[in-house]
Amino acid sequence: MSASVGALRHHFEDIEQQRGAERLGMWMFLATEILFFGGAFLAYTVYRLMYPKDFAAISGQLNVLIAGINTVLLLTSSLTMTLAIRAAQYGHNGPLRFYLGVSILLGSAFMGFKAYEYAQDYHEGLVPWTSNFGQETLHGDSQPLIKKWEADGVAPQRVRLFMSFYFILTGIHGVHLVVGIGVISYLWVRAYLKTLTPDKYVAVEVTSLYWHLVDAIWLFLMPLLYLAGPHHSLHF
Amino acid sequence: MASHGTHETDIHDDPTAHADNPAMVFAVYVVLLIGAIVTIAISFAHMEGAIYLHMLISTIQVCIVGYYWMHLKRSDALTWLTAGTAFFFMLILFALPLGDYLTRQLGGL
Repeated sequence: MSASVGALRHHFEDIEQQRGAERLGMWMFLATEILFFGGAFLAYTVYRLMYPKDFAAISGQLNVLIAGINTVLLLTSSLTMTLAIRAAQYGHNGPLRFYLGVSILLGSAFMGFKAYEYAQDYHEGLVPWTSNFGQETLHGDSQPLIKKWEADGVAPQRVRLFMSFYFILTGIHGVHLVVGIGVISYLWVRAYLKTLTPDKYVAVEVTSLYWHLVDAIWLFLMPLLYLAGPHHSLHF
Repeated sequence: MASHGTHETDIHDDPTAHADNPAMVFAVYVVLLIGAIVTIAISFAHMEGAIYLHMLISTIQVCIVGYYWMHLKRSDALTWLTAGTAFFFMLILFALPLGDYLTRQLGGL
């Protein structure tokens, strides 16, 4: 099958070399992202090794049900992005817009659940830089969280440290997700305007590479933050 | 004289030559979902050292994502080198500081 390759730039020998260069460029960027998050994960690991009991105790407070739902949302959005590449390669514009649109929706749903979770954390007094930190009495408890922590031998300052890591790590991950949603939205517009022709499918592929990395980071982030301690039930 | 801009040449190009097999894509998705369910289920088992299992499952999941969905399977050596270098330097990033923190209780000089 031959195609008019309007995408080929003058400084590449052929279109496959150009596509290889585009993929390599994205992998170079992903390498920097791996090191960026690696540093943050290292910092978390150091303090988790220093304060395992405190981290496990507060991790048990976090909402595992929402974390699980968010994991499924991200995995499904990675599935649809992979299928979008195939649709772009075959020039199936309708399915391409569908898969890109679903990826956007799933990513947005993730952010929606995250916002709900952050609000829940605030109302439970778990946001470390607020005046109500540890001051709330949760349903079923007889005393505020800070008293409960002290009674269990958990240091409030270490809880504050864990929650700082939680908000910074999930916050930075969320920012990356928002950027990804923006880029996928741009691709959707190009697909809608029918300028995303099959010879330009690599634009979808390199975007999906970024999206898969954001997903991969969550696959590590979720168990580290939410599953550090034992859970007893799933609830909203 | 070098031409500028794009080549509007009719050449042999088959964008579908490297299209993913949908069965493979869905199979990977199912495996990842199973991994996610297992990792959450483990946390309800209250096992000692569960974190190691969690990290093992996460590593396997990320390797599968990288190999199949991120197309490392059919990538060239340079891409493998780039991905491998990132992980190599991340290992150094973890090993050196943890070598300090994990041995502090042994006493210093």
